[in-house]
Amino acid sequence: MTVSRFAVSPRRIRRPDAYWLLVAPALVLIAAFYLLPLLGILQLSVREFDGEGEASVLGNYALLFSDAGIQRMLWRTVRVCAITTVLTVGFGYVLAYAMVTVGTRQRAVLLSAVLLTFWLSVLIRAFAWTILLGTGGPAETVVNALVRPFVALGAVDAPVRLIRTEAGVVIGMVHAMLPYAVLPLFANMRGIDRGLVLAARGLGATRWGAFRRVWMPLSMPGVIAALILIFVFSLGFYVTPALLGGGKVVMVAEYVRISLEQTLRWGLAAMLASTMLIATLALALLMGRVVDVRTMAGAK
Amino acid sequence: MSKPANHLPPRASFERGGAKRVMVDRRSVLAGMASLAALPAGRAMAEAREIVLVNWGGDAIGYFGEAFAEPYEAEHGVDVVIDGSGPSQGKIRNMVESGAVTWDVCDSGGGSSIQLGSGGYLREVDYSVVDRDRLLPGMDFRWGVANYMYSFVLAYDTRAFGGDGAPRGWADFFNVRDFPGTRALLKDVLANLEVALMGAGIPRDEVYPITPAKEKLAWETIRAILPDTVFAGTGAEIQQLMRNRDIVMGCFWNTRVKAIHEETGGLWDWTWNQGVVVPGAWVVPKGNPAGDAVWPFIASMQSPERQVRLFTLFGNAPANPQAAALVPPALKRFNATDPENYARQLPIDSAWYGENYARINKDYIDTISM
Repeated sequence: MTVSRFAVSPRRIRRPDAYWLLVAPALVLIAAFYLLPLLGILQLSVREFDGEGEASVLGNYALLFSDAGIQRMLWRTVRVCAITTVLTVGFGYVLAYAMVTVGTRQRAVLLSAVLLTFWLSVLIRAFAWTILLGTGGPAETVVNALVRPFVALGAVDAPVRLIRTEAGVVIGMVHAMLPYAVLPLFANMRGIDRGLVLAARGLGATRWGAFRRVWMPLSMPGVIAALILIFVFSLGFYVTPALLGGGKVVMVAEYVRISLEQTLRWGLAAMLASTMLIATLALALLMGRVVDVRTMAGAK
Repeated sequence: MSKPANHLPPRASFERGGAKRVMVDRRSVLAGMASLAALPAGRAMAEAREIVLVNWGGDAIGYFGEAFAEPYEAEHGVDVVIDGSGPSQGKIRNMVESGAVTWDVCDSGGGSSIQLGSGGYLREVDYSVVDRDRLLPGMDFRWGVANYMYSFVLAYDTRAFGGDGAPRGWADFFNVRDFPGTRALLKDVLANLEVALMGAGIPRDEVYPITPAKEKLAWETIRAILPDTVFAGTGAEIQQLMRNRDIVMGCFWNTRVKAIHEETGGLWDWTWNQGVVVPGAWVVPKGNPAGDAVWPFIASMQSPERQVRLFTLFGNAPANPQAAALVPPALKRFNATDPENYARQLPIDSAWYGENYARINKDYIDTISM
């Protein structure tokens, strides 16, 4: 044991240099094609002021605090993304749990169902939802049959519309995001030693108690990773809100597109993009504090 | 995309071995990258005898080719290439700023020509070659020439409102009590401000000038029907809304309405009353590769015959007033610039949009998004 350890350690010292040489071309490429344009965007966000009034260095960023329209749009984005994230991870957790507990054949069926949606284009899925959620479509019929008692009580306006509403956008986004939640959760849960749950049961824990006190804490890193991953992905969503939102659910990605393509407010677009970037970085930092990123990424 | 950047024939690379082969490979890849980087400049030099016309794609590529490109090629021996990638303001600005302009003539709009032109991205129109007399009044812009006209019209489902019950103007469109059902507007402010003002009861000839009070009134008018309104982004979406009967009426481009009118055998109809007429405009990006060769080409597209050809193919109304007389009588009711139809509509104030579009479109988006 001791001998082999000594034999390994000198090599360990030399290794990093060789690794850096291998990684260097990729780093240079990233710097040239990713970081430089990114800096350009940041620069554009302070250089070009598009609002009304006095131009100042942070004029575009001041709009975040002064422009009610932009504030409402950002809150809508955060709200829709938060609801989507919670629902997606909730469904994803159940699905991933089912996948680790069922037999091999059922697991293959579940996995292929998840992967199938993963491989389909977001555009096609959004269009499929416009048919499913459409006026007089199957989803609307079912939902309206379910809420009929509440309509009688006056609690719900009839008939309930799904397409071109925020609810429709959330449904479409949850569906699009589900694989991104299931796959990391599944990977995480497969790593959990199920013998621990059996041991807890053997020591007298109830089924629910063993799940709550052993399984849930062990699966938490996966849940938190999935929450942050889904939230960050949702922030950039464009196609689904544009198609299912009926033009009324304008989120930040579409706002940026309009500013870039139509109204030529590039400074505003760059500011919003930079704000999203900063928010994402902050979330990543937060994730680093809550969970061990290296464990999650499989580096340890 | 389809071909990897490896210029070595397979046999040569097989004969060379080890490190040397890697060197040659890398050199050829570098050479390939260099030629890629030089591509825009190289193309501009080599294709000075070619004019690139950019429109919004789809069927329009073939129709513009037939109406404008083919006759010009036959007359002048200049190649006209139609590129359907959509010359949005953002793309034109990006192209000019990056100094790699590959477009010559772009299918833009009156307001956009002013917005882009005052930003320094367009060439001023040479009216010594382009003919002002072949344009409707006010459609000769400093950085753009009206190429065709289209209208935002009130389209309605005759199954919902037939005969005498049909909506006659924008006041009916905004009246959800007497004309119940979902209606649709476009996601872009263009013409919707005017539509809302006429909907609020302002007569057609008093819509302009736009004042802050009128802007406020327009947003209030739109806000009042928000629960009954959906907003469409693309032409395909418009047609789907009408085809599926998701809506009972809408304010749409007359060309799309015409397509659904014909498809449904007249079940969808429209009125020219209070329609808002908008010019499409040719614009030329600064530093365009074909140079001044664009002006005679744009002048050739003012020909009444060619404009009528495009109209019969695609429904875009002629910008040249002399063309209306050449339109076959059966098609006159589809022509937005037919004198009889034109008189019932409001020509849009492109200059105002050129100055205010960014601000007003933002206000509109803020109004329509919940």
